[in-house]
Amino acid sequence: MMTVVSAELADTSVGPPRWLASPGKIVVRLLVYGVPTVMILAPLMSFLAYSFLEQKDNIVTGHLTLANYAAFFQSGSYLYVFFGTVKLAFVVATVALFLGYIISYLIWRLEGSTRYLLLLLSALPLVMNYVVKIYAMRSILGFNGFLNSFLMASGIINAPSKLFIFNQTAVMLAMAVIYLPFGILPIFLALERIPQSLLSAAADLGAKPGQIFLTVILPLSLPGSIAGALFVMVIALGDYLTPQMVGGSEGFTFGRAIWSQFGMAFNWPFGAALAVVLLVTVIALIGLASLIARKARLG
Amino acid sequence: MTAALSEEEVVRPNVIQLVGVTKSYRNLNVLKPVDLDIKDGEFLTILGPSGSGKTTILRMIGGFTPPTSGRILLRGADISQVPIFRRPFNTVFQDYALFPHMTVAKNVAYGLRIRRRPAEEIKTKVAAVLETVNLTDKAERYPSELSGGQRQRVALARAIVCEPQVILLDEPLAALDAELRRSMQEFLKDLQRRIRTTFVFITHDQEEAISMSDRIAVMDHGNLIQVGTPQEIYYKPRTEFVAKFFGENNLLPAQPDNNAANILESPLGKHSLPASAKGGGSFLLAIRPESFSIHDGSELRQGQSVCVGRLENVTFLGATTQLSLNVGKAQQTIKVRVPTGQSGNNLAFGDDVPLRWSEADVNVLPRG
Ligand SMILES: Nc1ncnc2c1ncn2[C@@H]1O[C@H](COP(=O)(O)OP(=O)(O)OP(=O)(O)O)[C@@H](O)[C@H]1O
Ligand SMILES: [Mg+2]
Repeated sequence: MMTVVSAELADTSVGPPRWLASPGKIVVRLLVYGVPTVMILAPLMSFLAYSFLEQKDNIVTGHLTLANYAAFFQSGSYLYVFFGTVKLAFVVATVALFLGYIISYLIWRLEGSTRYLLLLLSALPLVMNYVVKIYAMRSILGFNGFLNSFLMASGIINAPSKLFIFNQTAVMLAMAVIYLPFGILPIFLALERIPQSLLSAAADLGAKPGQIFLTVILPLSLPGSIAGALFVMVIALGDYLTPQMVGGSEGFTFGRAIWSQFGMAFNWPFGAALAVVLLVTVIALIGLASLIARKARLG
Repeated sequence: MTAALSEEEVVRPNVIQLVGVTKSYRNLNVLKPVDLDIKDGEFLTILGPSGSGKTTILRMIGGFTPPTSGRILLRGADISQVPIFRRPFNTVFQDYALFPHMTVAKNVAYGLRIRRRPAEEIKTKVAAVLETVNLTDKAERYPSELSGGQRQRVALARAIVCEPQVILLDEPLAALDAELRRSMQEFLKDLQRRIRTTFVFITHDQEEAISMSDRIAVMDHGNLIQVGTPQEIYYKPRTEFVAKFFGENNLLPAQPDNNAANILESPLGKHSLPASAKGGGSFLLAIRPESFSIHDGSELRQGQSVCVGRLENVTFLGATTQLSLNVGKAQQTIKVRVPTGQSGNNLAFGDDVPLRWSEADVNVLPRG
């Protein structure tokens, strides 16, 4: 009897010795906090630093300067591209908000398995290759594309139009389609978060379906939806590939401007300064989105 | 043949009648045909264990879900097809279902605003109702800034401000702690008396049901088992389920006597079989512990009987003392509760104690 008891007592002390635990924990902590810090913050810091460096005759001199920022704020064409891009991203986000809200709402109202099937379908483009999607848009919007063929076949126009490709409209249309799924998901989640009992309560208090939508569903889902739209705006702001591939020379955006400083003009400090401007804009938008989302949660 | 209406029925017409109402989800029959009359101005409690179909009945009255068959009448008119937003009932939900994006005042005003009442009327009515539920100072708060009991009162105010013909309450007190629950019980009962509106209240707490209700409807497994005043349900259970659900009834087996068809034999002795208990086979006797008293040798009154039990245990409960005694040939244990002074100090374990009880307090139930 005694031996059994002592064996049990001994069992409880089995485990990693205490002195091993703390260095192990420190390593884990370092990995958990350190890796993201290094991988995200380090590149950010490096181009933040770059943006204050002076470049003369294609050579970075190493002197600190604000000239890169001054160049941006004094140049009419860069400011023009910047605000044009902000406007473009805003339009894309607005389209994603409107279309996304309608689609999400219709899916949300469905019942049973069709609901999740449709949600899955509308989210499917998210896992498709980005370049494939752009080419798909090109084949729709292009000079000999699906849209032109359709309009000609239905007799609306009698020659292919150049309206839909290699200009700002094309960029806007392509981005709106590509980024729509990014709008649908957060809006659907915002709708899904509304407790069913609130809708029952509204009906119980005499509200007809339309009144329930206006007084309960819309106000409760709008903040989440706007946050989702701002998210779309953020990714649209930084996109340089879509403008390049469907925008042609007319569809010049800020993302392309940054890319060209790094890839073509080899003026890295100026490119870095432009990137910082974009980053600050994005951070401001994300801050706005989280403010709206937090307000929605407090409600 | 016209049955004479009792005074009660004359002054209280039915506001809602369920006539043969059933409910099935796909092939699952969750509510057997239910007939229930709800009287104008009464506090009716639907009581039953979890899953017995209480919420289902309430949801069908409110119009949240249609009955599979049967009719629901409002003052005689069939409302089975009337949509939820046109029914003159309001519901207090278990999770309160307050609108998180509206202040307390806006929540309470919701039903009136939806009906496009004049702004002046909305203002005065909301103020009056907030006064009734003691929330005037919280009018501009949001629901997330309120305690559970306060949210509960907002939900009540939001329902009563619409002046519905019936207020439906689905376990509104279940989420509150014991103390708050007790004060809300009193508040609700008092409120119901003041506004004289019919309350249909759901609970699975039998004490709550007894202390608050004018009548109780007991449910089990989709069946409406018994409807009656708390006294009727408590002292005159009609089934074993009801007898067991309401506290510590003594349940004793009883068989018909071999010689006389209308005499039952139980560990307590012989009983006459009431006309209402029909059918052969065996029965159960339900008798409450407080229906016994210790026989002091005085003369028995009409309908009283005496039996002897062997004392097994004594439990002091404060004002009363509970005795456990074995009775009959099978030494069946019964519980007897007597005022503490009456039990005497001279009882010892193993003593034979004479017990007196009244035939009227014995309920003969079919054995199920
Ligand atoms: N939408 C539904 N689909 C299928 N079955 C349901 C549905 N709603 C309720 N039920 C079933 O109907 C039965 C009665 O449910 P109900 O909600 O009326 O019980 P209840 O008496 O209110 O119980 P509780 O005290 O737990 O709230 C349960 O067995 C439940 O599983
Ligand atoms: Mg329920």
